[in-house]
Amino acid sequence: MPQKQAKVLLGESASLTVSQLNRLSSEEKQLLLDELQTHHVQMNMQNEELCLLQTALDAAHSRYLELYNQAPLGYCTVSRHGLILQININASNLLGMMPSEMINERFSQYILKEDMGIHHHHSEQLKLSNDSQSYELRMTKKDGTIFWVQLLGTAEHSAKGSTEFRYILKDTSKRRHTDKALVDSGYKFLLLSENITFGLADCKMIYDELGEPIDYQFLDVNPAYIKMMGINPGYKTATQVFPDIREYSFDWIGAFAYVAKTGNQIHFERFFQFNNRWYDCIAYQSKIDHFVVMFMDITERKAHEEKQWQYTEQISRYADEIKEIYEYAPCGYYSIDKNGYFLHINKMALQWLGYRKDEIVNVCRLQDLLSGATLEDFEKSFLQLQKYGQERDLEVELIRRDGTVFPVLISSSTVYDQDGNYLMSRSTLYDMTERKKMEEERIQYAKQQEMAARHLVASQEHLRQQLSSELHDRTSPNLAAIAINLKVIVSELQPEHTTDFFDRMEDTLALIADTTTSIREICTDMRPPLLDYAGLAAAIETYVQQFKHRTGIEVQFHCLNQSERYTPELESLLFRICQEALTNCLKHAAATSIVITLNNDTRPITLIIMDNGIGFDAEQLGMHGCAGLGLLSMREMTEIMGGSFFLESALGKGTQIKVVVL
Amino acid sequence: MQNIRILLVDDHQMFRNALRSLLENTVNIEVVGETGDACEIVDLVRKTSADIVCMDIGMSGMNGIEATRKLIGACPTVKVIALSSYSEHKYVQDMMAAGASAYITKVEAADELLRAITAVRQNRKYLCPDVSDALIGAITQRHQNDTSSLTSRERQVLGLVADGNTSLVIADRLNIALSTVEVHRRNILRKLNLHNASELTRYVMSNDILTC
Repeated sequence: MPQKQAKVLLGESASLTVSQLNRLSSEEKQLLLDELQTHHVQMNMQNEELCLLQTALDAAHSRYLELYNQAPLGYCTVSRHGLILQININASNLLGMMPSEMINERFSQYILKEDMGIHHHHSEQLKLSNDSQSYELRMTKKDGTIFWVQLLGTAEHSAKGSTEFRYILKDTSKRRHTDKALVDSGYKFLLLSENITFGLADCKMIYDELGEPIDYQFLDVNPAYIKMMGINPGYKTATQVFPDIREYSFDWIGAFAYVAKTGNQIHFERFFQFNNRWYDCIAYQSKIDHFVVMFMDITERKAHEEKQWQYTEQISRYADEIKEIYEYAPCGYYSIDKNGYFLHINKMALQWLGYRKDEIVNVCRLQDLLSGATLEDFEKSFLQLQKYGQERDLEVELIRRDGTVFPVLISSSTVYDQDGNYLMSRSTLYDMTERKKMEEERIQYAKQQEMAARHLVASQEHLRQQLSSELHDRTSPNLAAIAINLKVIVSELQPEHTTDFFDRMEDTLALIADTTTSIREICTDMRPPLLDYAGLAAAIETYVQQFKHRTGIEVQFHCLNQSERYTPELESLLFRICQEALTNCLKHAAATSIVITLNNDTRPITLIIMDNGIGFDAEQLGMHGCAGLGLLSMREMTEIMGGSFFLESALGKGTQIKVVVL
Repeated sequence: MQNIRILLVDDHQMFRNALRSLLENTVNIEVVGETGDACEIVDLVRKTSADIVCMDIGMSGMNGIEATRKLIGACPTVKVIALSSYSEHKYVQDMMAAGASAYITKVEAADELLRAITAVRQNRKYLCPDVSDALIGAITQRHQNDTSSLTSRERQVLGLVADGNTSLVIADRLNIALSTVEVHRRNILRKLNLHNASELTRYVMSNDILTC
């Protein structure tokens, strides 16, 4: 080996002194020279080799530096006194600086003041032992931003007894905000959990001799957990803290055992019977047979969900009810598109029509089911409906499957799209068959009633007429005959009887005269014979004369057509209204002048009775019993005859009664 | 002097009888016939040579106005006296237009029939007070209210009223029923064209009525 040889030579030569050299023979000197030359060559060769090695070393070094700087983790070497000796780009980047700026700066100046204690504590630990220290603290970037860093520190003790600290820096800010972070940091995270609202528990599983999980032990919990459960478990086991945990509907121990054993994460929502609350739970394995569980109280949310569910249930029940009501309502419902095609129709309507749903919906138009007589009405109404959005009480006739027709009443409203275009119309359908029938019956009944009323009036008139003529044609002449007979008897009497007897006779004749007068008045009130003989105008005229004579009230009667005759009922009605009006005037109005006008030259006939009396408040008519009754009977009588009755009166302004008869 | 021959036309038998007895008590008057059916009137007048026909108006069958028109048409010399229950203007007008010479109401027949007969015999027209009052009233509105039409009994009652007696006292004084006094009062009001008790009192005071 040339190196060894050279060494040996050098060693030997080194011990070779000049005197010794001088003692060497020339041969020996030649040999030594040769040897030296060989060495020289060898040296040169070695030198070249070294140069190559140096280059390789330089390359390796720069490669190392590159790796050091580009590493995904931050590296930093700190002197015993805390000055930065070396720092890679990643680490300086974390702090927002260049490595050159940080060399010989104090490492601790980048640590948040509050966390200095942590760093100091671990640094002391590093100095005392060879164990690496891993801890998390907050550092400040150049721009002032604070971020979480995990430090893994190791101490290098040099031969000289000096110590250097090497740190690996890892940014954990992001991790701290993720579930993943929890997995990674495990129970360490618990230490930092003072301010978090969810409960955290670090626990260890307990197994029996067969390896079956039977319980777990609390190692640490955060304040939120204590607050949440209302209990500090300390280092107790689950069964000590929650004595009935095995009886709970959910196998909590089993679930956690699974996590602790397999390392699989589980996430579930459960009801915790201990405090009757709901929790959203995430459980992770922190290390083998250990787990961390995170509790979030979701009782409120669950209550909301429960309520929402109940609402949903209720809504769906309502929807069912509405559907049932829709289908079986006592009226028909349908929707049609703009052409009249059915979009929906309820069962009731189908039942009325005698069709199946599939024979109607999307197949048939409403127009197809309308009778010819009412189709045009519908078309007109449908246009209005599309335009104005609503149509009420359209009467049409629908044709059943069997061809029979029935009357219906339709009320519709339109549904428009956002742009105001007609989408469809929804309609309600009423079967009018019964109503029509009832209406017809009602009309029939009303007709019958009117006829009965007319008949009643007629027969009443007939009765009055009969009674009147009976009194007039028989009683009056009888009385006249009695009076004549009395006269005859008186003329036959002897003179000596007469004085006292004559007075008696005059009393009797006075009675007869009074009776005759009252009979005449009764006859006139019931039905004046003149009404039949000479008609309405003559009867009123005569009655007016008698009334004037009897009461002294001024009455004028104007009539355009004296000789016109009407049906006995109508003549009687108008005469009676005059009579009633005059009687009212006498009894209540305190009138001094009355004007009666009968406009009978053209139809309708108008009878107006006007007085200058005290009048009355027409609204308080009910207060005046008699007058009210008289007016009421006038109105009733007029309406029975198919006429109209008008009354105008005001306090102090007289009264006007107007009757119009066709 | 030749008897006046009278024919009675009225469908009321009892009234005809009363008239007959009234007329037969009178000298120079002879009732030559009577009938209840106006249709046979022309024949009957011709057969009986009646001078005067007492004609009712309201009869079943043909009425008195129609019968009068027919009769006067057939026998213009015969006189018709209308004897009716009606006093209304229209009947009077129609009857007179049909050719009747006199019109009296049945209730006044006892007093008025003989006057009417006398009048028509002298070719005058005659209307009884009931009818003439009504006609005059229609023209003059308010006709006089004198006491001439009152009977002596009525004047008696009026005098007692004027003295301030109540109906009860009057009834007692005249020895008649209270209701009869009321009847007299009503008749007085009617005859004097008065309408109520206060009008009567005023009338009594202004006319100085004295007790009879």
